[in-house]
Amino acid sequence: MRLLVVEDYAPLREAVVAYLREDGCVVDAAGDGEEGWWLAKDEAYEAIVLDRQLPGLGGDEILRRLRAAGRRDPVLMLTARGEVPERIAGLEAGADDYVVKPVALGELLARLRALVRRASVGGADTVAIGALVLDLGRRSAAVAGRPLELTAKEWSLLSVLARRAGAVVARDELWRHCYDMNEEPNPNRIEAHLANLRRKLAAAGAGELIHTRRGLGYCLAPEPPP
Amino acid sequence: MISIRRRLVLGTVLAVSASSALAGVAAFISVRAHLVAAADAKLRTDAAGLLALVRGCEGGVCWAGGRIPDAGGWVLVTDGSGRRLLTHPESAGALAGQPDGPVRLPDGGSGRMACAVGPAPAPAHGARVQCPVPALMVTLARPDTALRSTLATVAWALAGATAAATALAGLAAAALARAVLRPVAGIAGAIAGASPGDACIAVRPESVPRELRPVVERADAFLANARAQVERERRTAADIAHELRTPLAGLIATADLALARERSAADYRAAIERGRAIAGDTARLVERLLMLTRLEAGSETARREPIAGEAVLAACLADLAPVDAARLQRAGGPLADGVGDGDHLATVLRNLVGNAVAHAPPGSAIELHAEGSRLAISNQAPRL
Repeated sequence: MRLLVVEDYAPLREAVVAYLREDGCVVDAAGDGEEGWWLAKDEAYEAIVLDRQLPGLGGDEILRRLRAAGRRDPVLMLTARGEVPERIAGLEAGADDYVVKPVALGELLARLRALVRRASVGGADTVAIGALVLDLGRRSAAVAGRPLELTAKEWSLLSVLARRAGAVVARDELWRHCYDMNEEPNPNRIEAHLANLRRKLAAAGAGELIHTRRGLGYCLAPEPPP
Repeated sequence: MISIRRRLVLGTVLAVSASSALAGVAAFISVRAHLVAAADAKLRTDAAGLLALVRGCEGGVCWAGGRIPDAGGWVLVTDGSGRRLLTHPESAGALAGQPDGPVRLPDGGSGRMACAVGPAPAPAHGARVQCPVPALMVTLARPDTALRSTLATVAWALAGATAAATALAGLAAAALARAVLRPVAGIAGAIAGASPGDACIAVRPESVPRELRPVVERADAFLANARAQVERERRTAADIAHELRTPLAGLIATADLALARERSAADYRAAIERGRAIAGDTARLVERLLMLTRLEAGSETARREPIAGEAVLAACLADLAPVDAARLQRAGGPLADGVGDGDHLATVLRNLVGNAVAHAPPGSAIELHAEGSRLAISNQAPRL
């Protein structure tokens, strides 16, 4: 998952980002509202963790601007304001989930996955392409019922392609989903991971499911796209 | 404690009873004196009348026409030396030597007596007076039964009037007390039924007597204070909960991260140290919140004592980490000395400098410009 965490309290921000990254997520982080808005408006994230009370631009304003711009990125508000009127206001402002601090990081991750699932391929938990079946909720893949062992980066690539199964996904988009903003874009690394994926799928008997469209990107489908 | 109603009634009854009794006694004394004076005057007149009926005759005196007048009592006729000349009845002689006024009658009863004194009597018709009496005194005594009866009647009438006045006063006092205390009871009921959330008691000041309006206004003021206090406490609890949630979230997240998988001892130590730092920040936050709460509630007052401004500022800056202290740039002069609460000043300075260090971009300069007792902290942190 490619995520954005906007939280001004450094210890909390650093712990959340580290936890999500250890789980294989690609995470960008911002410590104030201006930086958060600058990242959110220019990048596409699968989910955004947004604090409400931020220095400079507040979380409510960032959310309002995103929605006004037609952006439907799933937003999870993580805030200390726990009263019912505050929760209602946050959800009605456009947040997809509202979590009151403190929260267990495991729960936070589970909620983010739920948001991403709902936002993807009709919200389906599993995607089947040929003999390959991906369980997006459990983050597992299997070919003809046999589990497929994947690294975190391979899973990130495969899940992005699976959510857009049948469509061509640009290399840049694949990069953004697998690496955070601090990494220098390097197409060779994407190629290397895709090559490993192809090898594992072939070895598992899934055949050729990842197709290259030169100059455009990659597509996950039983047959090459026309 | 005796109730106000009972005090009013008892006090009124006692006052009316006492004044009525005094008035009754005074009236009785006056009436008695008048009646007694009238009775004595009648006796003197009748005694004088009897005196006119005494004639000189051989051997002394006799009644005119030889007939004993019906005096309605005891008659004693004496001469100037007290020699008894005539008595009617015979027992009247016991009256000799007694003064006018109340007297014990010869029959043992009580009565009143008066005397009349006159010159020598005229001789009886055809009588040759051999031993003329130079002067006469007629003493007349009658029972005072009628007087006593009248006085008793008067006394009972006055007593009855006093009792009636007392009873009426009691009834009037009870009614007056009920009327007077009705607004007080209303206020007491409204105050008893008020709760801290009410804006005022259920009594309008203009609907109570002027004397009780300060009570209503004061009760409303106390309710307003209580309501403000309740609101302050609610807001304080919400503020404290809000402020503490974020560092608590940081603490829990730090622990969750450390426990998510097996880590090296160094990683665990680093996590514990981060948690320790968060706990320290939280403790300072709690102290600040509690101080604000106490200041708002008025339960904490600032001391007034000489403060060495520059020394306080230097102590706050000494708490900073070296890397943060290196970002500070001093401008102007030393912070001036003054009078105030040194601890509160240190807390405020620590907060201001700490906020600048925490929120200014890393490595950016933070300027502390002191001019006299004014201190300006300039930094590039976004507006909070």
